[in-house]
Amino acid sequence: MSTLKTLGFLAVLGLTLWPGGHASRAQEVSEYTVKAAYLVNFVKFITWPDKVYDDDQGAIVIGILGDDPFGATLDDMVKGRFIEGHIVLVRRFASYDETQKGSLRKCHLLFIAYSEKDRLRDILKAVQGSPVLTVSEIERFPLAGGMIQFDQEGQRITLDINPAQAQKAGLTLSSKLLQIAKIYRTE
Amino acid sequence: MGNNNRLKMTGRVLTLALSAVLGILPLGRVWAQESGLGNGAMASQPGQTAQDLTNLSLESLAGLNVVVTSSAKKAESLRDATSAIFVITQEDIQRSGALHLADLLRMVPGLLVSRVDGSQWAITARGFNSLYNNKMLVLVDGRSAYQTDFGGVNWDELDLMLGDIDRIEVIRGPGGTLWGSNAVNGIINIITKDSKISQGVYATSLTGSNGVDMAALRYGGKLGEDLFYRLYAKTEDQGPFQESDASNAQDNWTSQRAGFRMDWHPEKDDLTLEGDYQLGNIYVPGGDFNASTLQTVFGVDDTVDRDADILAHWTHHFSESSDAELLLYYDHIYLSVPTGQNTLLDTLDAELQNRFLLNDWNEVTWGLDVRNVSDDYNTPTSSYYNPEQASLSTYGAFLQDKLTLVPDRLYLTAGTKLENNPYTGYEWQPTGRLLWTPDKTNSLWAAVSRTVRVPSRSEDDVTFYLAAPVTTPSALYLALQGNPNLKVEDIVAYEAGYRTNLTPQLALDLAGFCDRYYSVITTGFTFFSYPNYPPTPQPINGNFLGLGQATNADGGVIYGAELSLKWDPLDSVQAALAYTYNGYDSTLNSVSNIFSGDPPPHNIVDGRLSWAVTPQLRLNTSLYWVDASFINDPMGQFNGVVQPYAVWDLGMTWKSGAGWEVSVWGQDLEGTHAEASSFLDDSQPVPAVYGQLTARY
Repeated sequence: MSTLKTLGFLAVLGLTLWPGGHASRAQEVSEYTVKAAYLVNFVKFITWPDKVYDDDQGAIVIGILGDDPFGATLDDMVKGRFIEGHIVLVRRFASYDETQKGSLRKCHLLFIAYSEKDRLRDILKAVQGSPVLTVSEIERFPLAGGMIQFDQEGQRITLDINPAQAQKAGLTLSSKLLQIAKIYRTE
Repeated sequence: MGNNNRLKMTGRVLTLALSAVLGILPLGRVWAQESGLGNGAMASQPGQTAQDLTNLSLESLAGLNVVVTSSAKKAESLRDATSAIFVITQEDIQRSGALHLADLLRMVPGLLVSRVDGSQWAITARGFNSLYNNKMLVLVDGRSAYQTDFGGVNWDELDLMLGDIDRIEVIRGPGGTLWGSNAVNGIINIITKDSKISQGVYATSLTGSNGVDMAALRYGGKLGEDLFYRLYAKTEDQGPFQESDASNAQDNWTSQRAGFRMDWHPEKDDLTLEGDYQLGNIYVPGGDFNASTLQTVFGVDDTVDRDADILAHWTHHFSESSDAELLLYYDHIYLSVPTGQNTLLDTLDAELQNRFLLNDWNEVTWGLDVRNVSDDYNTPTSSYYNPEQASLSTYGAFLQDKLTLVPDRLYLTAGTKLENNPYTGYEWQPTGRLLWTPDKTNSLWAAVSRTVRVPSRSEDDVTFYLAAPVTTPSALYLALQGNPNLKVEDIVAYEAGYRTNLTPQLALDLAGFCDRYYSVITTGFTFFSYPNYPPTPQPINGNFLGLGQATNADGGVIYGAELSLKWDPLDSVQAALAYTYNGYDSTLNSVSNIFSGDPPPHNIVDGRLSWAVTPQLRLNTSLYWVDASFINDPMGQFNGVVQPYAVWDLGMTWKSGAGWEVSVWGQDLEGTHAEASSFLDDSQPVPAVYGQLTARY
């Protein structure tokens, strides 16, 4: 009986204190929605060297290499919009092995999915010297020669950045981006 | 009993107090946010579309609270595994109604999880089911929970705070090359969350109709740029099970634990420091032999179990493909039974591991380890250790090479461990593993390994007396005697597996195994009638003496298959099925018994379904079914069968989106049933309802 009482007490407690009426309470967003928003935002905070985008008429190309964790979320974010005066296109590559290396070098921003973990060295080698911003959630990505890694702190998504790698590729990262990130210096 | 009730009351009062605290704190926070903030918090109004997020400032994005799934990561990392591995994620934990860590393991293909009584579990894979399963390693963040004194794991000591578990990796089959001896039938790796990802407050309180009360609180904070910590405390009461005649089984227990974890992440290093203290009060059915009256008094032992551990783990990353790890820990266990028997165990362990690329096609891993266990069994009653105190060391080294035979297609892993243990000296544990990945979705692996199980301290050194509860034809005394000349249990395991995605929504993982036991440690009995007793153990003036001594015997073959299917037909529906078949040859029946562990049941099925009815409301159900298990007694006294049984749980969870969560679960809904059999213990779990309130912020 006393357990039932306790249950009842808990139920009453829960109902009374329920914050349901307060609709403006911060809501949680899914992990990959936030990561997709970061990808699109990077376009605003990175300057690519002047470069001819002959096949895409000035579009910014976001490449997703490997098993895509974003799905339609990313497409919805860029659909019908200009970001910093550019159309943004999303290109998907099933895996490194099935992709022409040249098409990776034509991306402005390349997200390397976790499924490509074992091919990481080859992928980074393939885009080396081209102005491609490499982004991944693979652990220790900046140490491996990548540029931006999605990390996590509590329930927040954070960034680990290796600015030297970006610089080598001819990319300029805005100081605003560096301010919110953890900086890796590997050189 | 009076004492017992008082304990329960305390637990209940604590639970209520925590519920009240829980209720008040987040509310205060909601008000603060509403009145004070117009900046970052508005970022995530309900009804906001994904596109709106791209208009946020970087600071606001960085400040958003996310629901972390990371399922992509975990699933991928399994594809290239060359062993039968299954990972329980935090998501799986939330979708199961498991109250205790041990109950989570039912979802793992191949695992037999049976509740022996209120506080004890027999958990096994691939045969030799026993409360004292001595053929499986259990690690918590690298610290071994396998007790070398009796050979096995006390699962109640591992009832960690489920919300702070990152994942549980379960490997069925041998792991001796990497993990050393006693990893015969599997390794259960419990990995707690990095304090970096367990920041803020997590508070939960639970109460159930079967006398379960639990409350837990964690706080995680940041001390510096890359330095994080968390503190936690948990208290729980578990009510008694029932005897088959519906009487109280008096096997309730309580446990209080508290601890911390700190993580430091400078650029190329990860440093973890963690510590826990646990105080358990466990009512375990047992018997104490009285040497003067020559009687065994059967009853309930109020066992006090105090554990403390401290662990440091340092990883240095030279590059993405090269790192070095150092693990150090100290573990203290004190067990006391009021009638006298005390056990004291102190473990010190140091392990070093290094991984590097020799060239394009050789990844080398090597390691060194040393472990010392000091024990003291004082004021013995039923179990006499000779010597009473000992300090025993085990040390070892391993070397493993992963060769890329055809890039992206074919890999060979070969390695061995060489270990020196205090009972049998040097033992080799080699393995060879082949992985073929013809394309992105299919992978096939095969392995052959030799693995050993080292005799436990009791199998080597104990004499145990029992006045058996039989009086016809006349009184029977049993003495179980250790054997200092034992050799290791010696197993060669052949395994193969296949993983694929049948459709993007349907993943299949199949593993098959055949374990050849060249040597099993079992107990052989000789009967003597008074006064023609053997000179040792010390004579007893009874009518008959059954003298059991641990011996090595040829163990026969266990084979089987384990299937895991994971199906996500809709974004809102996840289904999982695990099916296990076990078979064995007739030789096994002669060595697989109540002393060494029983033969496996032929079939085990676990089915799970989770449905997000709305983004806030989720329904979960699971059904676990175990075929009949046979019990062999080498004396022929207690042969038996555990009848097939099912465990059905059904629950719903409602998340407010504001960090609140309410769950209601029905457990063991199919009814009271026995899951294990023991002549001391006839405990059966009871159907129950429980409610849980959780807050995260």
